Amino acid sequence: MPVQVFLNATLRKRVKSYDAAGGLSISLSRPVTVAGLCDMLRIPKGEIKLIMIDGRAASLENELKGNERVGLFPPVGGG
Amino acid sequence: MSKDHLIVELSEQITDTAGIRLSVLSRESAGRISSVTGKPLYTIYREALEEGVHPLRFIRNRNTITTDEQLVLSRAVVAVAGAGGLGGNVLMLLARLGIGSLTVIDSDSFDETNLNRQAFCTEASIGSLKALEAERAIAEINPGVSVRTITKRLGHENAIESLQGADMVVDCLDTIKDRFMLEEAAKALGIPLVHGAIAGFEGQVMTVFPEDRGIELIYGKAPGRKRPYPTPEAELGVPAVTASIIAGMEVMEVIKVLLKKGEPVRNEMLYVDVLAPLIHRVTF
Repeated sequence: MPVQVFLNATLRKRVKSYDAAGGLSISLSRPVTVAGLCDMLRIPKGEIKLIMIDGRAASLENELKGNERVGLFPPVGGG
Repeated sequence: MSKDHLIVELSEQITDTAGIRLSVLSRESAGRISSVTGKPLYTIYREALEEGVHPLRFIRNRNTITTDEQLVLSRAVVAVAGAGGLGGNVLMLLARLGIGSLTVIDSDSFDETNLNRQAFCTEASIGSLKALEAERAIAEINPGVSVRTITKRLGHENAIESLQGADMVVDCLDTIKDRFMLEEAAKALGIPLVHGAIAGFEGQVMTVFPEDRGIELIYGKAPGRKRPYPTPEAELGVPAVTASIIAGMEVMEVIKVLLKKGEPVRNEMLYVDVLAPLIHRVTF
């Protein structure tokens, strides 16, 4: 099963024609870390402040096996 | 007419929209009692609620908010740091809700770029201090709110003094650095903080109790001078809808904490994307 990746705020511009409602559906042939996923998507890791895997905060080192729901968040700070 | 029983004497019996009979006090009667006794409206409304008389202005809060809960709100002191996009909307809602005392903290003045989202920014208020405009607007909505304004820039040196006396604080600031400073002060005072932030059509909320790790769960360590954070809001802007929605969610957190009901968004972040639309709940 593919990994569902939700990019938030400014991270969306990194992926052309990103679909906000559905996110990205990425099929993995082998397990990959979140850092590896970011490399695949060409998302600069320095722009990410928070990583979510299946509703829990995670780190760049966490491994994805498939079927997870991933959220990547930049530091939103406006008011 | 005895001064002691004015509230009861001037109250009226009505049937509310839920079909419940209750005593209410109109704004005219509250005003009369205030002029006869010399007590501020803030006190009159609180005393009315203590006697089980519901101020008519809050009648449509019922029965989601009971008369006893309205009394809790009337005794509460809430500080709001920032009276801009989030803060203006938060203050407006808190005033309508019936929070007894509000501390408004903002050193800025309104400018034209604030017109798109800031509740108290109008053609007429451009150039005026946001905190003073907020005080004026709150008095027009609910003169029963006791308002304290702080127009000095919030910093490490005055944060604790500015929040003194507050039961809780709402973070409506616009830089992450200032948010960390505010959280530090709230923790030092042992009061809960409601965090909210927006960028584009997205925003987030978290409630931080003094013993919680707080916003570092979202942002990592506080940003330093050498490594400033990216600012998505600079790129995506801050439209009115997001300011209004996240402000509403922040006020909902205030209600939950003050009335001790529901589940505050604690040790987790609620991230709302109103365009998609999606809500992510991130647990730490």
